[in-house]
Amino acid sequence: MSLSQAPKGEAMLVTRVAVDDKMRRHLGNLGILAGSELIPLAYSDGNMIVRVHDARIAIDSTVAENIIVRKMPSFA
Amino acid sequence: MKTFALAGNPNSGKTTLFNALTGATAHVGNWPGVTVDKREGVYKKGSEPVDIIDLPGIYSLSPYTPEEVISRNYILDEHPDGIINIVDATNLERNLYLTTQLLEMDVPVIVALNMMDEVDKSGEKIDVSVLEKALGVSVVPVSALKGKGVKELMERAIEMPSERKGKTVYGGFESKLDRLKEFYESENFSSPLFHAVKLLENDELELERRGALNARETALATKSVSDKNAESAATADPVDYEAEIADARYKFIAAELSPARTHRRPKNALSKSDKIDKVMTHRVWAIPIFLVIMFAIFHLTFSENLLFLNGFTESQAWMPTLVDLGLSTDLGGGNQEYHNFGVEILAIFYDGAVFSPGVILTNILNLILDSISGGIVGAMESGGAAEWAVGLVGDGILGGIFAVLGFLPQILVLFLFFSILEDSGYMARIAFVLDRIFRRFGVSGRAFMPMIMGFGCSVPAAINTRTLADEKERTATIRVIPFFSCGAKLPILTAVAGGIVMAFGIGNADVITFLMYLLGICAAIVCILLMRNTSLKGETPPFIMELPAYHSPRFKNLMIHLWDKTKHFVKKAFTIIFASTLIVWLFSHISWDWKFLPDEEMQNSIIASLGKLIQPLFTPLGFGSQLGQFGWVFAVAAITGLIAKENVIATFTTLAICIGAYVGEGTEEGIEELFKLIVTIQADTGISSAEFTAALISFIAFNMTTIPCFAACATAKAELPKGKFKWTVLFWLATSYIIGTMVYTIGAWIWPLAIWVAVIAAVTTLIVLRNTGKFDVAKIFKRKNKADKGGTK
Repeated sequence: MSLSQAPKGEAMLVTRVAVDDKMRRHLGNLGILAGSELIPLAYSDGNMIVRVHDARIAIDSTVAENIIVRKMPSFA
Repeated sequence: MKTFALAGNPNSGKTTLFNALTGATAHVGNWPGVTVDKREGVYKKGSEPVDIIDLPGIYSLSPYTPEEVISRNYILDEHPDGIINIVDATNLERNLYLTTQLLEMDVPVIVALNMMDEVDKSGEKIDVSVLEKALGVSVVPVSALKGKGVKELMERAIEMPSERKGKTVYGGFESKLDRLKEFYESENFSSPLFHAVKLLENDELELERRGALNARETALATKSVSDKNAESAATADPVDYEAEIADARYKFIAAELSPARTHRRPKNALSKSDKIDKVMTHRVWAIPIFLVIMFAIFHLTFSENLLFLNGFTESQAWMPTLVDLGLSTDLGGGNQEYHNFGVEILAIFYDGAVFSPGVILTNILNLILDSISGGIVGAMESGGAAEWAVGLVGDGILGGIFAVLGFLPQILVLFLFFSILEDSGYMARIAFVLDRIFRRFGVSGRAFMPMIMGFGCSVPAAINTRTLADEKERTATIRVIPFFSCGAKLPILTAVAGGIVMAFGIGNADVITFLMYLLGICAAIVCILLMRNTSLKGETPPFIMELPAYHSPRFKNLMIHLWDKTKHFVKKAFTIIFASTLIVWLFSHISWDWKFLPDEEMQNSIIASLGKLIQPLFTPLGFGSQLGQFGWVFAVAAITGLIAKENVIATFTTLAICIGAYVGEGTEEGIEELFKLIVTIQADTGISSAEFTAALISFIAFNMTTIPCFAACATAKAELPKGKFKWTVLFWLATSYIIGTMVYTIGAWIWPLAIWVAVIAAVTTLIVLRNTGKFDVAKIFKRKNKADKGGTK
C-alpha cells in the first residue's frame, strides 16, 4: 500500500520509493529508503508527519503516495 | 593557526556550539536551515587559538539544496585541518549517516555527541566507546547549550593527527571503488575515495567533471568476482548504486552503532513533542490555532484597547478618558495638556482604555525622546542660537531620527513574539500546516520560513530562500518577500494609520495596521499564483522537512535576537536615516539659486520643485496632483524610502514640521505631524475625507509593495538567478502601482470595483485559456505576421 493509506501509529516497512532520482536521494538522506522503518504520526489533508529513526519528517501528499510500504512483520 | 569546520545535520546544534566556542552571538533557531552561509570565528580558550567555521546543516554530502552545496564545497576545496562532526545524540542513527560519508574524506574527523543531557534525561544510555571503536575516530559527549564537554572536545581536536586517510565503513564495492579511485588519483584529486564513492552514486557534481562519466563506465564494465553485483553490472538493468550504498550505510549503523544505545524507550511510544503535535498540527484545529496566535501577537503589540476590556466597538466603550476624569485638558486637534507629571505617567498606560505592552513601551520611550529633544531645542533657543540652526537640529535631525526611533519598542515586542515561536519549534509546524494551502498557489510550505522572516527584514529572508530546492519557487518567493511588511515599514503603517484615525475618526489604528499586513499577504499570494501560472510555470515542488523537537524558548537566544535587532535599528537611525533627513532638510531650505529659505518659503526649495515634477506620476494612486501645493511631500517621502524605508516617516516628519502645519508640542511619533499635514492639505484642496483616506491607504499599500530598500535590492540581485533582477524591479514597480491605484479608486468611489473585477476576470480567463491550450498567443502572432507579409507582396 502507499504510505498515505498506512494506519496511524503502526510501524511500517518501506518497500519502494517511486519518485525521481533527486528526491529519492533526499529522502534516503533523511532515512526514508527501501528497507527502513517508519511510523505515521499525523495526517493533514494527505500531508503527513512520519517518524523515521528518532526524527519527525513532514512530507506532502504527492510524495507520501509514492512511498510504498507494508506492515512490519510482528514477532510477538 | 589551525582551522576546524563544524559539520552536521540541520538543527543539530552547530551554531549553538559555534557560539559556545567563539563567544559569538550568531542567530540560533529551532528549525532546520537557520544557517545558510558559512561563518567564521576564533576559539581562544585552548592551548592555541583555532579558527572555527560554522557551515550550513547538511543531511548528506550529496546536496539537495543550494545551501548544502556551500558545506560540501567548503570541506572539499578549503582543506580544513579537521572536521568537528556534530551528532545529535537524540537522533543518533540518522545523524551518523552523514558521519559515514565524512569518514570517506582524507581529513581528520572528531565527533561531538551533542544533546547528551537530553538523552540522559530520557533514561537512555549511549556507550561512547562502542561508537569510537566502530567509527575509528574520537567521540566526545558535549552539551553545546550548557557548554559542557566543549573544552575536552577542543583539546582532543587540537591533538588529532594532521593526516587521516578516508575509509568506507561498509564492504561490497571495493574493486569498483579502487578503479574509480585510480581515475581521481591520476587527476591529482585529494580525497579520491570520497569522489569515487560519489561518482559510483551517480552524483551530478561528479559526473560534470571531464572524463568522469567515461571512467565510471569503464570501471563498471570490468567484471570482478569480489563485487557483490558483478553479474548485474553487465546486464540490461543497471544497478542503482546510490540506493545500494545508502542501504549499506544504514545497515552498518544498525549493526555496529545501534548496540551502543541501551535502555531505549519502546518504538511506538509517543514523545512529548509528538503529544504537542497532536494538537498543534491537528487536521482541523491547526489553522484556527495559528490564526488566533497571530492575532494575539498583533493585539499585544499594537492595540490601544487591551483584551478588548473597553468593549469591541465605540458604542460599548465605558472607560473614561483622562479628559473625562478631569486630569487633563483637551487642547483640540489631538493634543492635550496633562495637569501634573503623575497624569503624564498614567497616560503611558491608560487613556480611555488600557494599552497593550507594545503601546506602553512606545509611550515610555516617546516621553523620554520628547524631553530630550525639548531640552535640546529649549537650550538652543535660550542660548540665542540662530533660527536656522534651531530648525536644523530640532526639525531636521531630531525630528526625523526620533520619529523613527519611537517605533523601536513595537518592533522589538513583535520580534520577541516571533522569536518565541521560532525558538520553541512551532514555526516549522506552521510550515507543515500551511503547506496544503500554499500548494494551491504553487509553492511548498517550505517557502513559509523566508516569508515570515520578511516581517523582520527582507535581507535575511531573501538569503534564507537558499533552503528552497526549486529555482522557480525561489525566484517567486524572493519577489514577494518585500510584501511581507518589514520592521522598517512598520512606522509607515502605524503613523499613517494613526493619522487617518485622528483626522477622520475612522476605525482603530491597530485594525488598520492588521488589515494592511493582510493586504500585503494577499498581494503576495495573488502574485505567486500569477507568476506560477505565467512566467514561472512549473510543478509545485515537493515538501519534505524535518520537524525539530519542541523545547521551551531559551532566554539567552531571545535576548540575542532582540539585541541584534536593536543594534541594527539604532545604527541605521544614526547613520543612513540621519544622513538622509539632513539632506532632505537642507534641500528643502535651499532654493535653486543656493539661497537659504525660512520654513514659510519651503515651497520654492529645490526639493519642492523636484517633488512637484514627479507628483503627477502618483495621481492615479491618489497622492499626486489632487493633493495640491503640499502633495509633493508624499512623492518625496516615497522616493527617500528607496534608501531605507524608515526614511518615509522621517522625511514626512521633517517636512511636515517645516510646512508649519505642525504646531505645539506632541509625541515625536510622526502621527501628529501626519495629522496636521492631512488637515492642512484638506483645508487647502477641499478634498473629501473618503477620497483622502483612500489616498493615504493607497500610500501605505504602495510603499509596502514597491521596490524595497537598497540593501534588500542588492540581496535579491545576488540571490536571484542571472538576468531575473531587472524583471523583478519592474515587477515590484508594476505591482505597487496597480495595487495603489486599485486601493485608491475603489476606496474613494466604490464603483470602479466593477471595472477591476471585470479586468481581473478577463486576465484570469486569458491565463486559464492559454494554459489549457485553447488560446495560443504565439500562434495568433504568427498568423498575423503571415497576413502582414501576404499583404505587402
